[in-house]
Amino acid sequence: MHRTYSRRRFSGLVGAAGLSGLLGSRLQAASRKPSQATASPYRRCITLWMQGGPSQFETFDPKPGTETGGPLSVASTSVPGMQFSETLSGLANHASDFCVIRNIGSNQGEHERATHLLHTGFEEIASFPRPALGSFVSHGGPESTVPGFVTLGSQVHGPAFLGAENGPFVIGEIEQAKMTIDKVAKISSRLDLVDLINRRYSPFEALGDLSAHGPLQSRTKQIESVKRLVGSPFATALDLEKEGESTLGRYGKSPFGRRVLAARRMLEAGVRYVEVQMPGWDTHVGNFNSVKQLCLQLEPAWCALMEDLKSNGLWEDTLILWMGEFGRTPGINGGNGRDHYPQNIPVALAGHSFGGRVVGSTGKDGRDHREDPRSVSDLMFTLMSLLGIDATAELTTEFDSPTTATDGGRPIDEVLA
Amino acid sequence: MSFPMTTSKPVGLLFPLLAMLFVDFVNAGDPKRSGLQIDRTLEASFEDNDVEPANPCESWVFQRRVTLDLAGRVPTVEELNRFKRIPVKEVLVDELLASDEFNEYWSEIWTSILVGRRVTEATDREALRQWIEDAFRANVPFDQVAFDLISAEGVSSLNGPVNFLVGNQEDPVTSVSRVFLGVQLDCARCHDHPYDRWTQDDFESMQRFFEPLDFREVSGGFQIEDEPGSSDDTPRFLTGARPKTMAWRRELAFMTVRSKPFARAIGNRVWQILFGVGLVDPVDGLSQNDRPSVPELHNAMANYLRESNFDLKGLVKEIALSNAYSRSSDPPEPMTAPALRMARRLFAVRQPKLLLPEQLIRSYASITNASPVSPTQRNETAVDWIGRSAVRVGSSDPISFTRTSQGLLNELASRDRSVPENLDRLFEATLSRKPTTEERRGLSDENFQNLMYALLHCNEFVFCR
Repeated sequence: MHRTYSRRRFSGLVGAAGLSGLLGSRLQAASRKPSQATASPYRRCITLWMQGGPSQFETFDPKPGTETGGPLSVASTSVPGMQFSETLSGLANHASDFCVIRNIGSNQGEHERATHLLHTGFEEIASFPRPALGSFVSHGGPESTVPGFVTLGSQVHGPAFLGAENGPFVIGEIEQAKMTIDKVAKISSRLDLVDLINRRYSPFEALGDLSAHGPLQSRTKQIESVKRLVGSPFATALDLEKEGESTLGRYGKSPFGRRVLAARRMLEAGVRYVEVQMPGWDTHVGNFNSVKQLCLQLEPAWCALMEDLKSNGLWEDTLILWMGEFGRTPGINGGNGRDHYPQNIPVALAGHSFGGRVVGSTGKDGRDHREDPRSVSDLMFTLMSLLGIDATAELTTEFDSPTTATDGGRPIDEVLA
Repeated sequence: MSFPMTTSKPVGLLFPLLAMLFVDFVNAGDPKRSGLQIDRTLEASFEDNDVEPANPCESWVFQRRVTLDLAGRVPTVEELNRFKRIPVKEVLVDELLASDEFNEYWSEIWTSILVGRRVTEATDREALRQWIEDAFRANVPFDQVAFDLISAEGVSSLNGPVNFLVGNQEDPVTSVSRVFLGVQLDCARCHDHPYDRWTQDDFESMQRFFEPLDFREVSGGFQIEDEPGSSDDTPRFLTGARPKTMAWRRELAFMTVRSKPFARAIGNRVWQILFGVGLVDPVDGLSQNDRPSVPELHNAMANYLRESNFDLKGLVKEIALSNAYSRSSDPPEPMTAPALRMARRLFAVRQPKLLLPEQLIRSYASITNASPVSPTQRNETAVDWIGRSAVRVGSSDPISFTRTSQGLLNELASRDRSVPENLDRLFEATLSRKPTTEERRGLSDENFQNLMYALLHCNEFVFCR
């Protein structure tokens, strides 16, 4: 029996040695933090997620006067080649801050899988979880009392191998989240009593060397971090009553507007990545009216956000990212709607570095997207580069498999230039 | 499941036929064994490794442990007093195993093993859980349970076991291998397994068992049924066996439950639920690379299961009444961290076990006399307390979970209502013991509401010694 054991152990060692030889430097580079190697103009990001798949035609890629263009009119901007749909005419005034990307596509037309793809840059494999972009941003940031990554909405994409602390703090209802935090803040003296009991009367002190008690230590650490969180500016950020009536009005008193306002306050409090989800974009029926209605919420909140970022000093390092899981068909269906169109995924960026530009083209009627087509991996690589994440870094999963940050992505130079 | 002729379960006409085809597997195992010699096996390994086992724990510690493990909550003050009067462990364990609380609590754990805690639209978690609870109540042999889960057909809301595959429809092979064979095939999905013997070809050959599987959205949830498998390119089980009929998935289910890895994987899971850590750790990573810490015990449990008709409650009882289960978590003498780790790996010293959120929720309800909540609500709260971003879809290991700070925040914000009227009762209701003289002196001036909160969230409460 003993011999069998040692032989097995030996062959195991050879296997491991052989493998590390094979993979060489990949393993050595593993598990380091994404480096700041790339010139990094942005430190924060707010993602406006159009849940359901937004129509490019009625937003950032209108095709007026064509068969595919639909009945809505357009708003011109000061940037050549950049027209917005009438639904976003207010944003047209900010066109010089925009970068509209028109050449991203995928072949994933199912909501859930496409949502995973656009959040992580990878096709979903249940047994190989991938970190969301927000987790990368949180992971690359300094330690903080506030969460690095917050999701306002119901779709949750986890941190995978980047660790639970880089997962999103998930806020369904702002008031509910605030109540929970307030509740714990109010009983912080009780948490001190927990601490006292743990230290003075713990039966585990007898165990001696506490380094053998990982779970005990991590609970203590986590209680500390909860205590810091409830006393941090994050709690105050959730209190929208602190904003004047006029600010609330500028963001629009819609649920989405309140979320964007809360997101702005969180960025001010030190959160690095906030995703604000807006459901309702799956416009198979009555696309035009629906998008108009949605933009009545989207546009004022977005304009107010840009104005406020420019006045609160965060504009120079905050990236605004607008997208959804896919675009919508050029053809208009019998229900006056548009169906899923992953061949073209509209993406809009706003930030100080863009100076107004359009990348890629969908041709005259939105059907021709053959000019320099780019993948979601390329988009992810580009977003990571904008956010100072080393998209070329080798990473290690929790099951010790070497992997990469993107699925073979390449930078989209026209966005980064 | 009684093999092969005495089966009375309606597993279909095919089943006895299959059983006959595999008749050479049926008598595997060692018929001479009588009973499971947990302690003898462990003590031999202590000697081999020169490890001194810890003393037995105090009887209230045992009661707290076994009530948490079997009923999913801390004992009540009345139960503590009763066990003080009649300190017979076997009576206590039998009572707990016969209780509805056991069936419900273990069905919740197994539901999370099978489909994870995360709630999805497609999976009818509650239909699955109810079916498992019924199986535990009737003490259905566990190989029968597994067979039904792997081979189930029908609509998710009407036929509970269908939800195992509905909940793992993205990747059924990996889930079946992890849960029922304790093998991680995940790596082999994309390349040959780096450390183990599984190849990508093995994965693909296993995956073909599910090729005829058809998931369809119908009113009432998801329906699964199989087209007959085609005769060319038949699938291949990890042992090399191939199906002999067109009913591939049933054959896979059969090959699985008759295989040795199945019995080992189930034994290891039960051990993990009771000890917090498996003989093989991680629990779904039984492979040549992850050797069991005590291989002889690992095999002995597998043999026990095969000989007892996969009597899961019988195995739980054997383990709960072993000396190993009753060992103290205090080392017999001061130990360095590595020595302590070694002693715990061999189960010579118990490892304090972090309570599962389901155990916390049940305990709080019991202590504060709150009205009971449904298993569905309890799962939702458990997800909140772990943190939504740390809870995944699909089969998982619910015992060794990672939680987020937001999850802890939610736990700490939970409400407590009634408070016992005196210090002794307060301590007994929460920590299952009376306060020490030192605690009496140091804490009796505290506001009881605050003290109750602190006792419910302190390490001694949250970790089972």
